[in-house]
Amino acid sequence: MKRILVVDDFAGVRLFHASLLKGVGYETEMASSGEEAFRVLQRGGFDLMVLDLIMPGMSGLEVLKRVRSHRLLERLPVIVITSESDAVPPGDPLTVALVKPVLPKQLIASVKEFLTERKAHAGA
Amino acid sequence: MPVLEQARKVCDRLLRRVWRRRAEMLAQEGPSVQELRAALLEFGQQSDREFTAIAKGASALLQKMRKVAEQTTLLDAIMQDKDERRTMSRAYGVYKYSVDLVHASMGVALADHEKLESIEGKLIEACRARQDLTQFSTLFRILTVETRMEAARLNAESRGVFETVAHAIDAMGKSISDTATAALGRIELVVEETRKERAQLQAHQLSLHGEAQKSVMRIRNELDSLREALAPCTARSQSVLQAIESLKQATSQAVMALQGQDIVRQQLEHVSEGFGDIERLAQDPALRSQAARVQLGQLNAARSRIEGSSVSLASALAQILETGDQLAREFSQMEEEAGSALGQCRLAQLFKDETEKLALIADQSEKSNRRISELVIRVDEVIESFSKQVSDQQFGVKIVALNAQIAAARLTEAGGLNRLAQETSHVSDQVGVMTQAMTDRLVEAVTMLRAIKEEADNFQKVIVRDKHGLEEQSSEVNTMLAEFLVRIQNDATQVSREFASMQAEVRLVSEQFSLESQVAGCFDPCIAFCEKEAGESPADPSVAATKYDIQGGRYTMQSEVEVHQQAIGAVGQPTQSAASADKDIELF
Repeated sequence: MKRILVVDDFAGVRLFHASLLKGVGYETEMASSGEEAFRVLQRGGFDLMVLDLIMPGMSGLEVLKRVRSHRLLERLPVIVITSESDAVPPGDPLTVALVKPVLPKQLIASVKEFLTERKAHAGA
Repeated sequence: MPVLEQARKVCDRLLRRVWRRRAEMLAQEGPSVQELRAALLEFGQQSDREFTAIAKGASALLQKMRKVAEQTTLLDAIMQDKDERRTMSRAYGVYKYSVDLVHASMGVALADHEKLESIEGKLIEACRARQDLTQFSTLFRILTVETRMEAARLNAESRGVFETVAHAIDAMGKSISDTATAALGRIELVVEETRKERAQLQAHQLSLHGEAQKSVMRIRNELDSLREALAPCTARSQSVLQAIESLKQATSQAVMALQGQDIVRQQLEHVSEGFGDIERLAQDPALRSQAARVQLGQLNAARSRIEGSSVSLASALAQILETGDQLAREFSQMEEEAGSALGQCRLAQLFKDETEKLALIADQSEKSNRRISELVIRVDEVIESFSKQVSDQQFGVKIVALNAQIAAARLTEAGGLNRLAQETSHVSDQVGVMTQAMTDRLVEAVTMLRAIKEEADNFQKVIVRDKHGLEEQSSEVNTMLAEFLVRIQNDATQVSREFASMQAEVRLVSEQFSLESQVAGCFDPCIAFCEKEAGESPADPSVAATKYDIQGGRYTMQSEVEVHQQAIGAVGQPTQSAASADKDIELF
């Protein structure tokens, strides 16, 4: 079963995303801060991360930078959830930005698309 | 040589008489040396008072300017989000909080609606399976007819039992069918009713969420507008700080002018002492003239220094006042811009609107949850009743079938009836399996409903808590912005007023500052006296110098000059006039 890390400082959003993805058959884990997220990711075993961009302390952007420069995490697909449409630097094929409010179907579709593509690439 | 000695003594006596007479004549002709000395000291003190008054005024004005700069820095810190409480960040934080709350709330509502729709579909589907029960109803009817037909071949005595059995099978079959139709039909109705209500609720919730989302966008736009409106204040703040920074030179100039005045005061004290010596040197004309020449040099130097210091101080003060005017303008503009931006800011109202909308959304979510609860309860009731009834009816059929089997076993020609009885029992078992399957599906759907309800309740708690969090945070930010506005309206305005008042006072003092007439009144007669005394006897550097060397240690300005140089060096570069104080000032 695919494992997804849900990162958001806002409890309601965190619960919502995790519950939604669990409901369609994914295993989820939650982190409430950038620092916690990076710590959890280093344990390994995640197929995708759903990441809030603006968080106190270590921001989502900082987490993204660290992930992309980490030898074991650089290929991790990331779905960034943000209220700022231009906050994510373009050009990263493994990062997709969704602008709040994100409809449940949108999030599920993005996750499925990412994980299906990865499966296809892995198969190839 | 007694004659020559006698002649020299007579000449000395004559000369002394001449100088005494001359001094008397001098005393009659102009101010006395005592008066001149007093004038020199008085000038020193008067210039001290004048310069000190200017210095105090300038210093007070600079203090006020620093207060203005403090206010500027404070306002700018808030605009640049560098204040202690990070007001702008907090405001944007509340906006983000609102975004998250609407996103989570809307997402949960949509997800729940989808799940509910799916479960409603399952319930409807389960209910429609009652169509399959009609085949059993038909089967029971066939069995009834066949039983009657078989019973017709029996004798009247034996027929009766089987007629009863046939009737019972028929009745039971109809009853099972009716029960299922009624129960499942009721569930269908309930689900349809709930579906309609849910659709209305969903439409209403979507509308509320849409409104909430628009509110959030308005908050963002308002924040951006506020930031934009406050942006020019940063440039003004920089301008104020630069203006104050630029006063360093003027301040340094003023300090050096004050130092210059102090040197002159001390210089004149020494000149006054020198005048005293001139007075005492009546018997030695050459020395007296030399002394007068020295004092003349000092007087001219002192005059030049005091005039230079006056001009320098006036110029420094003029620059300070001009900078003060510029500062007042910039600060006033800044106050106005910030006050206007904050006064027109609708953030407080927008945050309030947003929390009200979210409260409505929370109410709707609460209603939705209650609907789910009601649906669960009603469906549960029907399932319980249906499954019990069917189970009882099924049991009843089985008993009838069993009785028929027993009766058939007693009759040798009732083989067919026995088979029918077995068939009836079998059909009854199948009805049992089917209704159990139906019930299981219904129960499964209800279990899913309960799970949704539980999850929705948890979400509701989190969202209500977050909503309260938003209310608190937005209230805090509104208070901070309101305090900021009050600070501008009260503190900044007061500082501005006090500064303007101080500026006016110092301007008045500056306009009244003029030592010209005093310089002329003091120095002119002293210089005239010295020039006259100096002209009485030609300079005899060798004779006078030898005698002066003995006096050379007196009235030197060395220590005073060193002290002033140190003070000037601490403020800025020494001026030319100060540099000329490096040399010992020889008084006589």
